[in-house]
Amino acid sequence: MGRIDGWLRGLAIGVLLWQVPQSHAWTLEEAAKPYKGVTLRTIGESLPPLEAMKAMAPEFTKRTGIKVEIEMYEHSEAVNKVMLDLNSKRARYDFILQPHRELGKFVANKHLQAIDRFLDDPKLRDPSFDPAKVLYPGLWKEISWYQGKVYGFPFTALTMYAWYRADLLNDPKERAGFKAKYGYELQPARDWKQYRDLAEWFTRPDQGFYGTALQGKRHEALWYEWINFLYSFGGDVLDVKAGSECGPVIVNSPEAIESLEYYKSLVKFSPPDTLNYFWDDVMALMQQGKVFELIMWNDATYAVAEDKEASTVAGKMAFDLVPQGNGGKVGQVEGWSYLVPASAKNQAAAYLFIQWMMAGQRTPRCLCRQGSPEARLCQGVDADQRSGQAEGHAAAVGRDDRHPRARDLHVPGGSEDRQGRARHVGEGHLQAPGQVRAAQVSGQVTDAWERHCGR
Amino acid sequence: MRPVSARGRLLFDRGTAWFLLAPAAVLVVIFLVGPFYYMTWTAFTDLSFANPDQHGSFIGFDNFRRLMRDDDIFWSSFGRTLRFVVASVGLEFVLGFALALLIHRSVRSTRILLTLLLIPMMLAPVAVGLLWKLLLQGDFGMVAYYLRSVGLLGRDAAIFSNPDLVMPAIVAIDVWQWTPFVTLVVLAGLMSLPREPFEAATMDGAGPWRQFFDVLLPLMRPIIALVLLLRGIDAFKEFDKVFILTGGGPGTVSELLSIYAYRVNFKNWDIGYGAAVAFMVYLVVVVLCSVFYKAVYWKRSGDRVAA
Repeated sequence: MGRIDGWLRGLAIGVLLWQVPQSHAWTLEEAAKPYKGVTLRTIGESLPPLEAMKAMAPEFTKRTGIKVEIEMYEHSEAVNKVMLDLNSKRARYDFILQPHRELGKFVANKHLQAIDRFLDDPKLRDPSFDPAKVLYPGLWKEISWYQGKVYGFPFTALTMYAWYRADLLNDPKERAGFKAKYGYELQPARDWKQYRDLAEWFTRPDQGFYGTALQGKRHEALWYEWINFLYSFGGDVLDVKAGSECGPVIVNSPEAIESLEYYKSLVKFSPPDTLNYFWDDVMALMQQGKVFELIMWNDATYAVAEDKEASTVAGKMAFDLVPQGNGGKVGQVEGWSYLVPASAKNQAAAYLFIQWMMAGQRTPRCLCRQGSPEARLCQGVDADQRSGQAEGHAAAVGRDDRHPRARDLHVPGGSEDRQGRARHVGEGHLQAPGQVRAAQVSGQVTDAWERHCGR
Repeated sequence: MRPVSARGRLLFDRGTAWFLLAPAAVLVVIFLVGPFYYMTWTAFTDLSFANPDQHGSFIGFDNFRRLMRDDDIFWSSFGRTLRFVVASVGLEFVLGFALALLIHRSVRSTRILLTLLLIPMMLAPVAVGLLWKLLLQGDFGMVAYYLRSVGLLGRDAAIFSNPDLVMPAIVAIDVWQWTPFVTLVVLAGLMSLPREPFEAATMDGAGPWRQFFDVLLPLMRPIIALVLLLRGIDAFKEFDKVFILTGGGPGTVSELLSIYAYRVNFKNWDIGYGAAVAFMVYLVVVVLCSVFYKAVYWKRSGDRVAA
């Protein structure tokens, strides 16, 4: 009897041990059961990463029964629609994809749900998903955290770096001519003087070819482009350690003024319509082979450097960090994040979808090839061909601490006046020397920031 | 059957009138009076969708004070808008009037001509903006190419990147789009004029210029006032074309008041201050309307004096 008892006891313990892990093993299907039949709606910028998400969403629906509807709009429209939705408390979107600069405003106005609530929920949290290991921590902290609290995960990791026409850099005739004129080898610019020399050398209006192209339109693009110069020259907007802080305004520092003067000096090496260009225009110019060098976003890389159907310069491009200034070689950090509105009706289901997108190896190769716009590791894709690009990306996402990062600020209100500040910078472009000096322009930007900081 | 008294009839008519007017009145209240009241109220608040501590508290005339005293962008936009209105409406009026006179005197069958003339006017402003943006684009625009070919545009110049050329180009595009409207209205006015005053003037020995200034223009005064008012109001609110063409740039060279109001409201989300800007636009339009009524009143009182 005792033997049978012991045997039965052992069997019971065995069954129990077998059952325990079974009942606790987390599966997406199980976690999503309560939300079956729910339709999630989201909104973002109409670009390949979002198109890729749209292509992948049916797989999530198949596994969970949760439908995902994705609205795609142009950059500004995607931002405006979210702003109106959040303020009207209509709760149309269950999660949103928004740029870095919007975060402070959303948090300050209590529009967002911090996601630690979901991360701490064993029913929702996939135990195999460890954001700290999957994501670039520097990037995650910069674009999805606000004042020590986590509000989302990066959807894209964007940065700007220098683009060059490699075929022209390697052309023996160009090399000889350049060396004869400037006294040094034709090569990617190491500093801003060399960058201007290159722009000057390749400016040939009679052939419809220009050294560079500035994004001078009154648009966010102008601001984002200029801050590469600002940071590289050793300047900054505010004297702060984090993008969410409002410190002393230093955008009128001598370094900032110098960067603006330099930026203006490139207008004469740009096509005539350069003050009417934003990111799409300069990308198109590069695709058409009309420009030698640019400072441009990484997510346009594939369309220019690799897509032979869209670009006449596919396979002819080289990349590098922006040239060295007194502030070093900077990598700009920017990106869009997955965020969950506080008013969203299906927050848990939205988290499950976001986690599913983040956790698996769901980055399509085509996305990696666009210059790693993903916030997760995406190495090994032609990295040897684009070492400069890889370096730029590494600096931007904080993977490489050798380079300082140019980061935009996201204090509430400050995010709103990018167009206003672009206006000031634009005015700096327009005026003949002596009329409005860069110092005055910087002064106007200073005033704008003082207002944003409530002073 | 009992006859209805005059008083009863009047009451019945009034009741019917109110009944018939009610749906329109309700719509006017909902869609015009309501939003206008809300805009006016908002202009006296600090409402901002961007800043967390601005929930729409009453701040009196602070927004208007800021607008009047501190906002140099508002005033430069205001001045630019006035110059745009004067230049575009002035040119449209002169060209439209001349064209209408020409058609009235020289063309017998105006149907096909008018249809062709009206095409620009029938296009959506956004379409007009896109069309001209492509035609004048600095790198590949067809019109820009021909302007360069004939030496009217420098090789290194681009219209929408050149602060000296942007506003004249926008005025020219507006004139292209709206001159046909002026032509149409003036032509209708010319066709409805009585012949007798002109015959009498001819018999009195008045020449064509005298007849134009002393007979035609006074008779056309209400039409002229109407067309100037309509175009003036419309030009003052110009937004779509300019927004598509330049976005208000380069810098602020083409930032009209409506574009500024849009930026304050929907880029800066400074709703209270934006309402104050919008209120100022409304105020100017009201002044334009009162000028119109004044013109009509002046005409009518002139008629009464003459009678």
